[in-house]
Amino acid sequence: MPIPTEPIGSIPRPIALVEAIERAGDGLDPHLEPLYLDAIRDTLSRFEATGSPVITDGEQRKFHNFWTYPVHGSPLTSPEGFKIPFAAGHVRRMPQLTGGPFRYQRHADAYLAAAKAFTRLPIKQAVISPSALSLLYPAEGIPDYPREQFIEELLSEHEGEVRRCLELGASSVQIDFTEGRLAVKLDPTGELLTRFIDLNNLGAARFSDAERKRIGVHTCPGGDRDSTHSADVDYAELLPSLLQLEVGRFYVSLAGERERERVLAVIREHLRPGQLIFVGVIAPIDPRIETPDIVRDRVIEASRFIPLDQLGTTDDCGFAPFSDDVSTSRDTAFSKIRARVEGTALAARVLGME
Amino acid sequence: MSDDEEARLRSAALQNAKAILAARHRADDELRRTKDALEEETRILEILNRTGAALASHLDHEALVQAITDAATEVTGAQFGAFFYSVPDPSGGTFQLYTLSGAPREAFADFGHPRSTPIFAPTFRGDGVIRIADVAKDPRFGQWAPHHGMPKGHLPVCSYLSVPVKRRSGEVIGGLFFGHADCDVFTAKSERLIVGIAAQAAIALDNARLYEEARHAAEAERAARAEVERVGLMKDEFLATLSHELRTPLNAVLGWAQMLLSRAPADADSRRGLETIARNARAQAQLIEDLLDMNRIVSGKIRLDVQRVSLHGVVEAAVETIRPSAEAKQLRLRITIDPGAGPVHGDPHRLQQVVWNLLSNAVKFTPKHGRIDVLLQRVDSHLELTVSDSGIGISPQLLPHVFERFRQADSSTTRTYSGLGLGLSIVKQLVELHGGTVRVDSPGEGKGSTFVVVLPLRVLREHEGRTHPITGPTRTLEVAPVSLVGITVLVVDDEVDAREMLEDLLVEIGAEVVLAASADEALVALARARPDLMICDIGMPLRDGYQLLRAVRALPEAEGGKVPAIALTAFARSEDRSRAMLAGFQVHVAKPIDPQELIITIASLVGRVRSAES
Repeated sequence: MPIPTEPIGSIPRPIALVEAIERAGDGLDPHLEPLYLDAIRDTLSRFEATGSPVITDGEQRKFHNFWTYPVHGSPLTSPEGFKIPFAAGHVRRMPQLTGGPFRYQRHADAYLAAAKAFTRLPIKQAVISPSALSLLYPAEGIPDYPREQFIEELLSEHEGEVRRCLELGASSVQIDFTEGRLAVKLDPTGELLTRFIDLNNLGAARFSDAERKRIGVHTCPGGDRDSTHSADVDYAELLPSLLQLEVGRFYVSLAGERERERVLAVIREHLRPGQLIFVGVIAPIDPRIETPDIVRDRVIEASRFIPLDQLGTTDDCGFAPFSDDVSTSRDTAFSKIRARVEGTALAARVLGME
Repeated sequence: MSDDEEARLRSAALQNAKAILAARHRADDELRRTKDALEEETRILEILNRTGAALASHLDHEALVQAITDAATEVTGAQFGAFFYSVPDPSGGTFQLYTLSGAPREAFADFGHPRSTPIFAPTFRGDGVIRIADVAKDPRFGQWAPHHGMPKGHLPVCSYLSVPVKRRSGEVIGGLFFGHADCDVFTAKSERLIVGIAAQAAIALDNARLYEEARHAAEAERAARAEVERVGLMKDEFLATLSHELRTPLNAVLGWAQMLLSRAPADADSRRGLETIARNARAQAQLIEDLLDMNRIVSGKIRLDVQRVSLHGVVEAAVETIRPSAEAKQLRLRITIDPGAGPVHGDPHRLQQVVWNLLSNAVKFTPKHGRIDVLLQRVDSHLELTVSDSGIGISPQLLPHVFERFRQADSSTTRTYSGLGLGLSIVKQLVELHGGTVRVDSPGEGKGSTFVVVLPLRVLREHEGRTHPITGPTRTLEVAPVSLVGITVLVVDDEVDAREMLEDLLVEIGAEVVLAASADEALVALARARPDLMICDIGMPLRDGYQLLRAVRALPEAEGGKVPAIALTAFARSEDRSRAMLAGFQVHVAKPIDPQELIITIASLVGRVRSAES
């Protein structure tokens, strides 16, 4: 039995697409449609060529990013949301909700449906977590739209998106929970993180056991333009809570961690039966391309802490969570993915699994 | 991130955290409510299940009503419950009993049974459920003296629930009553549940009642049977003693009479006197014998010594016995015996008794100079013995009762003819024991009567069986010779002797014979030889003759599915015959076979009866 390996999701958009979006001023311009289709087709075909058993559409159409795609262009938002500062010095500003009812403008299952036309390989679909979107609601509240109502509507939208992805046959649905470490950074008491976990669990509770086995959660310190927003937060504070999420798959960034063994030990301590841990063996923000041997060694390292039947590999993060991120080339991204696939297979051989 | 920016984000996040917590609490509450509701449903289901099982398992009335009361009280959540029910009393009326659950018997001992008050009466009338949240506020409550409400010392009741327990017929068995000190305890759900339990209870009570009745009936029947057996045994003993006691003096009477007759010749008067004494003593002994015979027959204790018997010999022997008395009355006795009347299977002594009884009956009821005709002939596959006389005849009213025990035309004390009226009854019983029938006919009083005994013909192989000394050897049945040239017969029998005997027999008259030792071989032979007919044994290992013939009949006509078939079997009961016909055989022939009859049967089945000469 091979060791399962899956990508996180995003692949840098082709330069032509990025430039066309810039010229159009908005990623939703209908004139961009042919370019989007070309990008999706090319991404899927290059993904297939890496040998990755599970692929994604590279989130070519997620605009403007993995976080705000459901509300981009909503008349009930303003751009005055909080700012997320990255270690590279740039800041991403989030939109802010101005009224209700809360409805997604678009759902990730539409991306999955489009991608299915171009490949026969299993496709994984990433969606944003309810906890990330909960930050859209401003501190001062919204007149005539209570917070409680927003939370209910947010959960319904999230459930519908995940359920439709499952029904369309996604091999897995990954909930992007990159704000986990940010929550610890904002509230060192851990209260905020606990509430984030609560909220995501309220979403997960709406699915059956069998469905939850196909649902995963991804955490990383944020990756944008080769930098992070919360790598300085101790993973050990996040992981115990993260593993309380009632889902079957955990995609944990690890390649870029300074003390990998310490993180693995924390995972071992809090791992529950039935949970599949996909450890990050590729660091997208590292410009060097990992060799299969490096990957193999990282897998073998992880195998000392995680039972083989609960171990998988992944990338630490998407290669371009924000649509305009061109700091990593597509070639580099796919080379790194190929290294993950090959290195994971090498490790399986060494570990006697093939 | 500036401190301001971070503080703003933290504030927003923490505000949201409160809302998320509230959402979680709501979800938790909802989950708990769902879980509680599920647990409650499960609990009720368990109770109902247990109740159903408990009610079904109790056939003892008292245990059952207690189980009903307990289960119903638990399901409703009542503090206490009672089941008041009516029980039939021996005088034909009913009286009321009750069981309690959740309260000791003393708690109600002083208050008497619920009376026909506005609150209780509807339940005893069977008018449906009464559910009251606060009984004191109900207009039906407290209207009757002397208590005007609950008597002093009564357990406190605020919530009240009651339901009638009714049979399907609508008859009210009783009522279930529940109380709780708290108000508004009983819900619509308790009401639904209790109606269900009341229905289950009614069925269970009915079952218990039927069980009780069936048990009593079975006990009564057992007792009656034991009594009959006891009386029967006493009667047998009495008859044995009686016969012994009656025969002992007869023995002396007859012995002395015969001894005196054989000695010095007495004068004519004395001699006639001695002869009369001896004749009457013998008649008396016969009466006693008849009485004992009848008793043995009706109690199923008679045993036939079955063997091959020639009726010809039997009839002649009986005639010889009766001839002196017939001659004494100057009756004309004419005997006609068909030489082809073959032997039957039976007990020669009993068959002789049959003929003798009929003959002596004829002699007895035929006046002087009358006529008695005896005819023995073969009719189809049975023998007929006809005894007709020119005697007093039988009236149409008596005809149907002639063969009944102790039945005579004239039962008055002045009747002309003596006897117990057992002879004809014994004839009927003995003939039937031989598988035959007897009938009587008479044109009316004074016009004589005709008795016809029909016995099934049992043709045996010549070399087999015992020969009765009285009747002598059986004569061979003579029939016209038959040829089976050009006819192929498939013989199926697992016994090699039987196969060879049939082969010899059939080949001798020109048939082509194919042999098979089993059903499987037979099916192969059927396909290959295409016989005109098959003769098949029934009792064979693996697949018997019935199974074989069903398999044959399932084949298309072109493959022999309609070949005529004869079942050859030692099973000779009528149900065996029916079974053979049902399996698809045309003819059932009982073993041992009569060769001639078998040949005629074969020839007629294939429609090719031809005389050897032609």
